[in-house]
Amino acid sequence: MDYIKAAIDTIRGSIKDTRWKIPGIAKTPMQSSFVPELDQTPELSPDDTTLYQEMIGMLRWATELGRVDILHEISILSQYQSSPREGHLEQLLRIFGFLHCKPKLTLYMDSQLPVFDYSIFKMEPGEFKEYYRDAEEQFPRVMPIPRGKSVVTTAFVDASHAANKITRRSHSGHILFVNRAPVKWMSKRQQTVETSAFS
Amino acid sequence: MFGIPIENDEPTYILCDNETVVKNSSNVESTLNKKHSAIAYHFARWNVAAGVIAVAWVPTGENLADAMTKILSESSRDYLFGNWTY
Repeated sequence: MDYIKAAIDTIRGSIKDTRWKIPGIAKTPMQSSFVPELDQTPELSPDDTTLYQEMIGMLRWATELGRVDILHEISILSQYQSSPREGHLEQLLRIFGFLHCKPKLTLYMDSQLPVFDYSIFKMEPGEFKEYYRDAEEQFPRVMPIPRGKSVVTTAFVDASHAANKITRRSHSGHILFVNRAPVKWMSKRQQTVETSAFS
Repeated sequence: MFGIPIENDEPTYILCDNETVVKNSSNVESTLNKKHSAIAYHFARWNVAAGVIAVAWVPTGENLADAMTKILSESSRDYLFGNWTY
């Protein structure tokens, strides 16, 4: 939280003499109508490009510190660091406006078991065994003896198929929970062009 | 959970909003109408058979990872992130 405030103040100071400004009210980090790959606004001057890269650097560090709610937006805007356009910088300033409106974000670290409807999982691994006879969970040879309560891991996965309108690359994301505590999350552009999920 | 001594004998529950993925990895009969099936397809089904993972479908609006792949409206963002952050 302190980092976010300091970052906003730093950016306020460095854009004071320019025509850019941080929007006062921003409910979401990015406009949903904005398509960064089709942006045709003029390219930024070298000074503004440096400013753009500095801002990306600050926000990437903010996501490392736990601002998970701007992960995808930063991932999108980081792709244009070498030659950003004015539209991209406007969206980046909008993210700072969003952080100004919502400076605090805390992750739930809940150790209780998830409230879960297990009936949605059709669990018939026995039938699968006929097709995959050698299927058996692999354990390391040297494994410590488990103690304490057992845990449940749950993962949420998603991908936006061919989200980029020019390169047709997809964006994938996942969140991994141990009981109800988020332990790993990711939002990343895929390196390949896919025809379908199981291509 | 192998390296740290904590018990985890249930499969990892994977929730996903793509119907084809769920169908192919939770139904035995389901096969792809393709000449070549990818390694990933058999890898996923092998792990279901081994009891490492279990896959199920959730609506897109309930999938917490949806906010990681799309630019969403304020209400759906608040709902999705409200489930694990505040």
